[in-house]
Amino acid sequence: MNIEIVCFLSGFHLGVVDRLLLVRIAFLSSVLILVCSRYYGLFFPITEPLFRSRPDEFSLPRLSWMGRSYVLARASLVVACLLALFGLGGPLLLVLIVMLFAALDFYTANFTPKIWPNLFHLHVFGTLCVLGELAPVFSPSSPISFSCTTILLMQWQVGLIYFFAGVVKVIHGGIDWALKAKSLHFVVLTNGTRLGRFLLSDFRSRRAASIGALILELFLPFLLFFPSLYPLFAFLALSFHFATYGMFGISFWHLWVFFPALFLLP
Amino acid sequence: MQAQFILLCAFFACVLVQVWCSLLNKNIWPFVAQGMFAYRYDRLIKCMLVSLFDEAGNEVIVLPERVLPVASFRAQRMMIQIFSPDSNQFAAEQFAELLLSRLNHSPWKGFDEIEPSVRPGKGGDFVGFSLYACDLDLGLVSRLDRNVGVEDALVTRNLLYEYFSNPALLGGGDSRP
Repeated sequence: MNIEIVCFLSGFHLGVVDRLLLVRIAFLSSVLILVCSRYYGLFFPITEPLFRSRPDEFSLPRLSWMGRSYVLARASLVVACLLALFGLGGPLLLVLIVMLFAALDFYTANFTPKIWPNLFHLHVFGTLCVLGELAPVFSPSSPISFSCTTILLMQWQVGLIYFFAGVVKVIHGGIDWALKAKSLHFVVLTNGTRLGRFLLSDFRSRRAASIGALILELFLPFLLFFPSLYPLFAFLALSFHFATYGMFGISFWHLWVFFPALFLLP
Repeated sequence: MQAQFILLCAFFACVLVQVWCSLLNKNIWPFVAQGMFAYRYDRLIKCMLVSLFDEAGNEVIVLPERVLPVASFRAQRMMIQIFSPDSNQFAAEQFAELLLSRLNHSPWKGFDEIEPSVRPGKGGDFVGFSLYACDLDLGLVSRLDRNVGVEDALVTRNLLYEYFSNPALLGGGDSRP
């Protein structure tokens, strides 16, 4: 793809190397925070034999290879992220981090294989970040253009997350998802904060919020066709995330920490 | 140029998998359907509730995410997997023991989508719990305020599993209809 076209589509002014560096920092910080948190706590290897046991067996199965290496994998990932954040290790360390994080996430996600693996975007961003940094290897003739494409694909992936979230609600929840607002009602009942219960206490407010959320998810990604509207995209998306955090405690921070690098810095 | 073409093709293949996941609302790691709240609810909503009992016999009703140190959207599925009637009953008992021990001795704070653990009150440590499959009627709680809880929307609850550290207390969960 022509570099001028790619740079126009991705709205570049900040150098691609600087932008990739910011994406890398956001990715490493997110992985570091997640791996240190209970998202990847010891609960998983401790209970793994219980989850893998079969109904007709009297003895519990042995820990899997990943279960046995879990503590080592977590510790290695923390050290590797810290080293990479200090600029050590280069692209190969980043490859190691992406692979180790994927292994850890795959292991924990397999406890509930049908449930939302909500860190998909981190795997995509990590992989694209590696490819962007290895641009001189993959595309020696036009490394900058290749790196620009990786950033562009990350921006599209962010838009796709909102778009698919809206589409799935329409397909599987129907138009009643917004008009009857039962999903929102249930979430406010089970996870609503004080603010959420105050703002969404009656049916009309819940319906307005549901319709608003659906419209936002379906149409927000179209702003990405216009690079000059990236700040507006980021502003609306951040407002949405701060609202859901204020009302239900769901922040989805590991997505919007990438916004400065991908959308906000000119 | 060739590398960029391959990169774009790989990305579009990845997008196609996401489309497929979204259309079928299926999650196949690492691909996600983005359908966390995309449910079509009928009049009654099914969910799991946990009734915890302390040494003084007090009962606390909470959602499964308050008793497991995992992301809230995973907790219910984990409870079903471990405590369903056709699961390994030895593993279920071990898990129940671990669950109570963690709640009493290693409580945790909330972080992001991990809810803080429910803490034992003045009635002493938790000594048992009952897990229920419940039907909720949102019509009963159409107006929400800070005093309305999940138990106010409760229509029916069916006992799935119960565990008490002292077996003599079994059946303690039958105090409510």
